[in-house]
Amino acid sequence: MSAARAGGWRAYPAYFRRALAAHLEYSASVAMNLLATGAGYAFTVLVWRRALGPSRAPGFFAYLALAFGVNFAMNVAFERYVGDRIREGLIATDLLKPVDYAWLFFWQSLSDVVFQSVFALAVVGVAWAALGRAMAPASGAAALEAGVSLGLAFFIQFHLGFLFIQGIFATHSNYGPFTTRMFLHTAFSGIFAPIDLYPRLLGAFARWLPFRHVVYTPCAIWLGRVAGAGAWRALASQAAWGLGLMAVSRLSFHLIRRHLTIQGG
Amino acid sequence: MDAPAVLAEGLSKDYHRRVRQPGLWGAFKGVFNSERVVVPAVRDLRFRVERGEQVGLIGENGAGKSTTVKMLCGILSPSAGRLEVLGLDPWRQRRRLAARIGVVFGQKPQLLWDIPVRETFTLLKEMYAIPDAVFARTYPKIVGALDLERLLPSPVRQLSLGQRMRCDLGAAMLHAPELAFLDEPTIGLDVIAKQQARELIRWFAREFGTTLILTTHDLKDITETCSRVVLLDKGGLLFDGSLQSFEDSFARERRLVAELERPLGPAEEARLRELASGEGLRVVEWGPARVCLASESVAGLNRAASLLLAGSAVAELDFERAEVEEVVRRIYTRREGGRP
Repeated sequence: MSAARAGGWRAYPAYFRRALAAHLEYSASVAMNLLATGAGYAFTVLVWRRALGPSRAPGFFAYLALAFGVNFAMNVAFERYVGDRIREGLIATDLLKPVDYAWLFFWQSLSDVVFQSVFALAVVGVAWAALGRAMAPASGAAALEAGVSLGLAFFIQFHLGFLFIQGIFATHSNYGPFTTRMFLHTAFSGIFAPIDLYPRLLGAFARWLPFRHVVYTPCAIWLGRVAGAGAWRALASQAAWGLGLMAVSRLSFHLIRRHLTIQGG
Repeated sequence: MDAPAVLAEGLSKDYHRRVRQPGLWGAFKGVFNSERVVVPAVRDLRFRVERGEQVGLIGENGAGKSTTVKMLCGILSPSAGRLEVLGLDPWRQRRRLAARIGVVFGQKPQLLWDIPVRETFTLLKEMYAIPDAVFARTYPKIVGALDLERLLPSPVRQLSLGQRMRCDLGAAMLHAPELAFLDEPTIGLDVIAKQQARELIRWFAREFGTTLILTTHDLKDITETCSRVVLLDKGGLLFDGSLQSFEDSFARERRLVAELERPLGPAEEARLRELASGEGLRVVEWGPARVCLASESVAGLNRAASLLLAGSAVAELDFERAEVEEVVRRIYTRREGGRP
């Protein structure tokens, strides 16, 4: 009789710890990514400053700095990782573990976020020093709500990725699904401007999609652009999107798994 | 009473494959109009494996071995038929089954790429909730038997194929699974490591009563670890019986392989050819650097070996069993009425 029983929940934090340790192997790579992304972002900010003038919109630049930090922290790499594993048939070995497939990568992605947050916090800290009070939370409640919102943002981000990555089963490459999600994220998450400044039609479109909840919502709550009942509505919307995406992505994975083909030994 | 380790009735699996026309124009046409064909990988497979049995699953490339194993593990869903593994439906109860089985896919590493081997083993301990008492038995045994001590601190990505395979095998057996599916577990291993792997597999069978389903292209893996052989051909069952009856029927041939330091002289070559002809030895290979003769008669091969050793051309001499592919090829030839 085997000694083993299903791993249970303690398997996931254990996996999280190993995945976090594995990230340290790639610290230099993450730092390079930070520099490259930061340089690109700084370019955008300089253009905005030229257009708006530095002193006219400190709240706007505080939002941009915060959005950069949140976006960098939430940049989970599991889509490319899982995509390659599906393509190369290594999903077979993932499915052999006595754990839930989606939760396993959820915890791995959480390790991505925790690791990248260290870098993101450094950037936000520098921006805070430069921009002063404009970067501070609107209130203690706003800080608390923004913290909850960040947790929900990650939940949405992961399940969006998990849903899009399943496109690989149809496209046989992660290129299309990944770039599609990246386009939607770039356009509608609010990383380059707050959603409330979007043109009417684009803003309405962004409000119908979940991407704004990954970057805009936590940043807007922190800075008080969304406050009071509006903040609670935003949190409820995040929770609903998160649960909905989880249900849809898990159901679709269950259906797609039936059509899984792993050939070649 | 325990359910059998494996019960397959009418098990079938079809793959759907796109047919592509050759060339650029064919690829372009395929974008708009791609024909799909059904490829039957496994057809109406029926077999039963009792607990504690050691079964070798063999067949040519594409015979359906790996697809069968993947269905048994719950990774692939059968297209038709009934399948029960350790009393569970592998597809529907994949996670429950995964806790009770150990699997090696020789071509697909399951270790975490960036962390040391030791960390993977401790992670698996938590993932499989292995009791300390069991871990205290399996971990030192695996590390010792597969000579892993030096490899434990190394990240997996720094290991060679053979080192990784040894670690993969250890990882699959760490939780003392009730049933182990080992798909080409000795691929990339040298002679010593292969022997260590086989000894470890036998130890688990002895100590924990682990049922074994082994697929391999190295017949020696099977003769040293299995008592039963299941032979697949084009997704169907061609032979199912004891190792003894399999060997008696198909795998009696041995090979004499001589690596030469220099080509045989004309007189040596003439004597060897005459002996081979007289003893009914089959010439598998006859080149300037290597001679390979095959026969079911060990005495005939021994005489050829003596003749070769009497000269000074031989650098290394070895007796081997035929590769699985070779045995299977001869089985097919016999079945189709050809000359073996």
